Amino acid sequence: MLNQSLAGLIASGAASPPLELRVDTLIFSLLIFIGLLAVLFKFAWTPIVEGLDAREKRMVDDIDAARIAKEQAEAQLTAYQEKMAGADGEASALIAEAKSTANGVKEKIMAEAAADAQKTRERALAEIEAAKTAAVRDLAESSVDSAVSLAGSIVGRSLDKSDHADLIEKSLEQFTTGA
Amino acid sequence: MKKNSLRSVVAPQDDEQQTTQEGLEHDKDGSGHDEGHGHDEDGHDEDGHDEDGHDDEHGHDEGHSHGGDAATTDDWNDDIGLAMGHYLSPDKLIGHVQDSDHFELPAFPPWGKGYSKGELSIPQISPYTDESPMMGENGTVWAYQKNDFVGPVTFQPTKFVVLELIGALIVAAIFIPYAKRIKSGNRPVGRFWNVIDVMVCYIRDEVAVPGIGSADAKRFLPFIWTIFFFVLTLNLLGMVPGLGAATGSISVTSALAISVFFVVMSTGIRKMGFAGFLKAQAPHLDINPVLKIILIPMIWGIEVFGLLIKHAVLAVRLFANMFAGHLVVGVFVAFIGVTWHTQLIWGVGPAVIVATIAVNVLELLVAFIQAYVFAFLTSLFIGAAIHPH
Repeated sequence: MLNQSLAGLIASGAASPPLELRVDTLIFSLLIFIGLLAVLFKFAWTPIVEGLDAREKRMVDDIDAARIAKEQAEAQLTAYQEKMAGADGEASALIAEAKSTANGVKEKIMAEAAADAQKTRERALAEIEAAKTAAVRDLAESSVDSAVSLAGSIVGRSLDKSDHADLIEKSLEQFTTGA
Repeated sequence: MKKNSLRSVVAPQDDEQQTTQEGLEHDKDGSGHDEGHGHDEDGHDEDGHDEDGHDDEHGHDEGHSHGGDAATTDDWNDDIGLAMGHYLSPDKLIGHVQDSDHFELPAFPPWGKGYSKGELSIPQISPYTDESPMMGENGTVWAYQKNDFVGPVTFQPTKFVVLELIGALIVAAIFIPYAKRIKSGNRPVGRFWNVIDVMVCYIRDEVAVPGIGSADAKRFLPFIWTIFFFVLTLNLLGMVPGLGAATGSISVTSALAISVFFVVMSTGIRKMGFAGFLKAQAPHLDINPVLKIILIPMIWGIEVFGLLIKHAVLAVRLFANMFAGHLVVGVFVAFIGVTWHTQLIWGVGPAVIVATIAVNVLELLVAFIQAYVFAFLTSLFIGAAIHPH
């Protein structure tokens, strides 16, 4: 049916046989294709190849730059981590040193305090001893005076000043030695 | 080429009954032939055209009649009740698939002397016609016996030539702005440009480089790109109603195949020299010298023949795929014409619409696949010329 139609069409000149080669159409096609190739080669393909190359170069450069940045970041991170680890040790040393210093200061303060306390104690004891001595002396003097007075009244004779002083001195020596 | 052929039919939408009536009257003697037709001995018309080559008032080109007892398109159209040249008649539908001297644009006012409604004629600029060709049967330069394989040379622009020009302009209109966008290494912005970018990179990375080799592919990229996008554009133009697939013509695909053949040959000869290229067609054989003397010429002959054949097949493959696809669509739509005056139209019509849509979707796929195959085989042929065996 369609064969008839196609055959009729071809036989009428209304259409060419499907496989008929038209040399003129072929030449037109060749010229159009070559013309298109020439135009595109100059105005499209060459810039496109350059553009694609430039884009790829940029991508490669970007990737390289990113890799370098990553390596730098990793190096910085490592350095930071090392620094952090060092800082920990340093901090520990500082703390230990601080503790040591504090202990030294503490011991020094304690020693000084103890020394001060000892000095204060000694001074207090010395003062007590001095006060005691003074009190004994006062008591001895008072006793000697009383005794001299009593003895003078008993023997009827008065002691002069030098006797009096000599007596007191002897009494004190005896009192002190006896005490 | 088909000047004065289908142009005189009456527009069916406007005057369908009239044309049908005329068609029936045309065959009133029941013989299937118009009495007024004259035939010469070899079946060609002597009076198929009036003085300026126009058809008669019946809306039938008298040149359509044929000698012998073969069934004619007129007969068949009369049988199904459609006049010759009706938009749904098989002759018209199948005519859409082939090259022509005019575009079929329904509802378009007559354009060009002797053309009917819906026909946009292409200016015929050459002094040569099918009847008096430059070369061919009765040609003024060189005459040869008319045959089914080589047509007359007239240098008249045809529908496919115009479509090729349109396709070339479209390709240039897309890729020159695209080149400006990415020239400095910028990324393309926008969906359309990204699609173009993807295709450009795909052809480079998946077609040219694997076929030719990364070291040489860059030199041939412009050729491969041009082949692919030109073929693809021509294929896609065939999907537009009223236009046609120029790649459905063996003449067009032959031109592309010849350009590929030229590039392959020139590449091989530049690489190895003329003698070296010819010598490289025969593979190296580690066999008895006597056998070698016998076998090498035979293998060389086969290889050289194969070199020609594979380029010819390149043309035939593309042509056959595109032609067959559109012919299938034409056949489907012709079913509507066949059943136009019957009750079957109510079932056939919707089925044809669905089938035509499905085939067109397939054709869309085929348009891309065939462009890819053509470009890929071109790459392989060039690669084989650079790296023989």
